[in-house]
Amino acid sequence: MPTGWDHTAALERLDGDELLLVELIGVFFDEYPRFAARLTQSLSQKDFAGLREAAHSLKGSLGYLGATEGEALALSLEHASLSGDSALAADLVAQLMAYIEALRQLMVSSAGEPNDAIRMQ
Amino acid sequence: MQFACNEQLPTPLPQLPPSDPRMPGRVLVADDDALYRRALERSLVAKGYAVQLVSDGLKALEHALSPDAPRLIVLDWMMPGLPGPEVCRRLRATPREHYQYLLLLTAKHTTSDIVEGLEAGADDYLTKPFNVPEFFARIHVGERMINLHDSLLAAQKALRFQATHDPLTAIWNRRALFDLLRAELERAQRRPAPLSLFLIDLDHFKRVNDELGHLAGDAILHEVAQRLSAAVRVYDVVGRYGGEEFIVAAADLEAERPYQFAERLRLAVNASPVRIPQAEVAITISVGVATTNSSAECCIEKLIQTADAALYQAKANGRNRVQAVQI
Repeated sequence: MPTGWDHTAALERLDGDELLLVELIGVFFDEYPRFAARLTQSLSQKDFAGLREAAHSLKGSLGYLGATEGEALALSLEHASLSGDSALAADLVAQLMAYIEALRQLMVSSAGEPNDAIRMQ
Repeated sequence: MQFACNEQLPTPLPQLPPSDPRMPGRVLVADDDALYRRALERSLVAKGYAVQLVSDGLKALEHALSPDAPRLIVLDWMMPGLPGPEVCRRLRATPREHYQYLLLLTAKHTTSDIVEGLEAGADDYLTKPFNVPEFFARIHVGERMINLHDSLLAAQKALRFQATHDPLTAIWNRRALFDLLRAELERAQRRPAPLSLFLIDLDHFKRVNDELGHLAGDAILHEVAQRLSAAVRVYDVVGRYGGEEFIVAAADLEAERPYQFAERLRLAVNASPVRIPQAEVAITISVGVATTNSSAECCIEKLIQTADAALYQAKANGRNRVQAVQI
């Protein structure tokens, strides 16, 4: 279970716009499958540039949503991709993907009526 | 000639814009992160901005270079196509009349990155993840810069106009007139083609000033300038030479046509009486025309001298007429 979700910080960034935060969480999980596919594919092909790009994007989004622990994982993955460390990268990809799955559960459960709220766009 | 009271007369100087009616205006947002795109779109739209969204650098450049591009541009650092700093560099390398405010969004925050971004031409940067009020504070700085730049341009334009135009009649002043005449003559000799210079003098203008006052005289000079400007072709030159004397320069008039052109000017001025508050005044002009044939050695001074002599002849022959001479 991810411990690092700073809901307050995320909300503050959006000037207290709860509805926007819920919508952005929805946008993130809409986009996420593309990134997940890119992570696994880049990893299997040892495409470190692709891996780094995906990690960089995820880092930005996770940071924006206040998912600090995920942001840190994505940053480590970016560094591992830069240095071409495939064992470390594989480990970090697994951690990051597990984290994001757990984050989905966490965000869903704390968003009141999760499914409707997150899917509303 | 006195111009003591001419502030009552229309002086069509370009005015400074009071404030930009387009604020809040349009914003171009370029970010490949859907989250940021949506967050920025939503926040901007809520404050009344119109938002253009793109997700890669090449599209951003294309939109930013379009003729009616937004003046506020938000660029992510890392984007497919072109990175943000490169978009800045290319935008700044393209001379544009209207300043565009470029805000770079960056996850990077080392000093050298910031230096790179600003040196590339960005006006400011914002480190991700940023908060919405901070973003708008930057946008407001951008709007202030754009407004300042616009007023500077307008002031420059007004000054340029004042430096080259006669304040009473709003046609070219004597200094600008000589620059234009020199350029026209050079062009005529290069092509080669004839150039005609028309020296125009209002008949009995002293009487108008004496009998109706100088304000009336000013109003008449203004109206005559209007009529002359309306009677020439768009590419002809019309300027005020001195008191009640005007100069028109026109290229490409062969054989009898300088004379006919001058007749057209004479009739345009005399077409109807000039209405001023206290009276209607019939105005006539005398015109001296000098035409140089490209092959002849000529200078502006000689053109004016010849036209002046012709004008003297027109006056001596009874005024309200044209005298044309070929050099």
